[in-house]
Amino acid sequence: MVWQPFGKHVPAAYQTSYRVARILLELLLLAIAIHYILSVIYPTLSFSFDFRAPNSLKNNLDEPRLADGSPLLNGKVAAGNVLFADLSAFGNFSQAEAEIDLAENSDLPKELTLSLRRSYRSFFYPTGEPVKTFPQAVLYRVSDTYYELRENILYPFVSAEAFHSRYPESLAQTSSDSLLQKYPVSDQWLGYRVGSLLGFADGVFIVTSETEVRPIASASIFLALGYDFKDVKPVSEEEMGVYKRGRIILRSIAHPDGTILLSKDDGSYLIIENKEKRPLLPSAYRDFLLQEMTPIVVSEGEGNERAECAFESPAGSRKLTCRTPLVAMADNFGDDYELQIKNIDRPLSIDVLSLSLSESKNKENLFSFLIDLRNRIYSRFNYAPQP
Amino acid sequence: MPPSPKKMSRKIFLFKRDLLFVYHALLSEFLLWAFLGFLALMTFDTIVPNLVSIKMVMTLYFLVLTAGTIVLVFLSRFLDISYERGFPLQKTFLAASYLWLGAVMVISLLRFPNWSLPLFIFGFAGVLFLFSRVFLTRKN
Repeated sequence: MVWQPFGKHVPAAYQTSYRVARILLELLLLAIAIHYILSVIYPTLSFSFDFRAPNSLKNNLDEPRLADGSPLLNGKVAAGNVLFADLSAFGNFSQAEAEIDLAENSDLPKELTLSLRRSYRSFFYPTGEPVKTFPQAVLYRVSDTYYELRENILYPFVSAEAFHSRYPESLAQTSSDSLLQKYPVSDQWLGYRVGSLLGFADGVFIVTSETEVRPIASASIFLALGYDFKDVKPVSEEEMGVYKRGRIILRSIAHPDGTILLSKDDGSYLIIENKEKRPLLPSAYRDFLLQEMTPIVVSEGEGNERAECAFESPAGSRKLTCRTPLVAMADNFGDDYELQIKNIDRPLSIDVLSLSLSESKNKENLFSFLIDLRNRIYSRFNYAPQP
Repeated sequence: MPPSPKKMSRKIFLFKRDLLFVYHALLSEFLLWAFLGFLALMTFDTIVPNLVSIKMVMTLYFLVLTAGTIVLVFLSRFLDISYERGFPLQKTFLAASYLWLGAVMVISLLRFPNWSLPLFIFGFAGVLFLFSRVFLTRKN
C-alpha cells in the first residue's frame, strides 16, 4: 500500500493524474537532494573578477595584475603582456575551467593560453637576496625586562618569551637601571617575531606584523597552510594585548614575513620577507629560527608544474572558454593557484574573468571528504584533529 | 443543445477547483519533504558549522518554506480542507522532536561561556512557549 496522506481530498477523476504528478514530484525532489549531496561531497568552486566593478565584494579572484606586478583593475591588457591572478581553494580538484567575457569594444584574440600552477602563495614570490645573520638590533636586558634600542628609544619586550622568539639570550647585553635614565622608554611594546603562531583561549593566531595578529578560522585551514600545531606558543592576555586583531583567516593567505620554507628538492631553506622568498643560508640565525618554527615544505619542481589550455570561442561569440585537467598537480604542497593568461596577441578588454575548479567523483575524493568531515566534527567537540 | 454560458463557467470553475485539490495535495507533500530537508540541513550545520550554509542561503530556503506554507493555508481555507489533530505515533514523534531539540541546543551552546547558558535556554524556552500559545492554542 502506498503512503498517501495528502491525496484523500483529491477528486476520484484526478486520482491517476495526482499519482503520476506525485511520483514526478518525488523524483524531482530526490534528484535535487542527490545533486546537492554530490555538490557538497565533490564541490565545484567558482572564482571570478568583474573588471566593470573592480571593488565589488563578489570578486574573489585575488590581485589581478600585469607582468610587472602593477594591479589590473580596468581589464585592459596590452598585446604581449601577461595577466596574473591568485586564488585559494582547499580540495583535490581534478579539472579547471576558465571563461573570459570580452568587452564589446575588445579585439578578438587569435590565440590565448591559460596557465595554472599550484603551491603556497608565498612560494610564488620572486627570490630575493640571501640572509645569513640576525636582523641588526641593539638589545639590552635590565633585570627581567628585555629592550631593543631603535633611534635612541628603548622599546620593551612584552615578555622574555617574546624576546626569545626573535633573538637568543646571548645577543642581549645585561645592563643596569641607569640605561633607563639614559634613553626614553617607549610605551609601545614589542611582541613575538612576525610569523609566529600564538595560542590564546581557544584560538590560534598568526603574527602578521609588529602590531597585528590574525585568527585562523579552523584547524583545517591551519593545516592547509602547512603549519604544525607544536609550533603554537601559548600566550597570556597581556602578551596578546600588544596586538590589534586583524581579519579572520577563512581561506589560504600568503604566509606572512618570517615564515620559513623548506624546499624538498634540494633541502634549502627560504624565509619570506617583504614579498620575496630569501634563501636562508647555513648560520646561527638559521639554526635559531629552525628551533622556533617547523619549516613549511615546498617543492621548486612542483611549483613550476603547469596546467595549460588554449582558449576557444564559438564563432561570433565574445566568450572564450578553456578546460584543463589538474591531475598532475594533485599532490602538490599548498592550496594556492596562480593563474596566468598569456600569449596575448592583440589588446584585450576583459569584462569578467572567471575560473571554476571541480573535483572528480571518485573514491579517493569521497574518502578525503569523509576524513575532513570527521576532523571537523572532532574539532567541533574539542578533540584534536587527525591530519 | 450547447450548454448555457452560466453552466459552462460553472463547469470551468468546478474543473479548476478540482485541480486545486491536486495542487493542494502536491504542495502539502512538497512542504513535508522540504521541512524535513530543512531540519536535516540545520542539524548538519549545527554539528559541522558551514557544511551547509557555505553552499546554501538557509534564510532563502526558510522564506520559500514560509511562503509555501502561507499559500497552503489559504488554499486549505479556500477548498475547506481541514486535518484532524493527532496522528499515529504522535507521542513517539513528539518525544523524538524534544530529544532532537535538546541535542541541537546542547551542541549549539558548546562554545558559549557558562554564565550565558541559562539566558539562552530560558530565552529560547520563552519564545517557544509564546509561539505555542499563538499557534497551537485552540480557539473557543
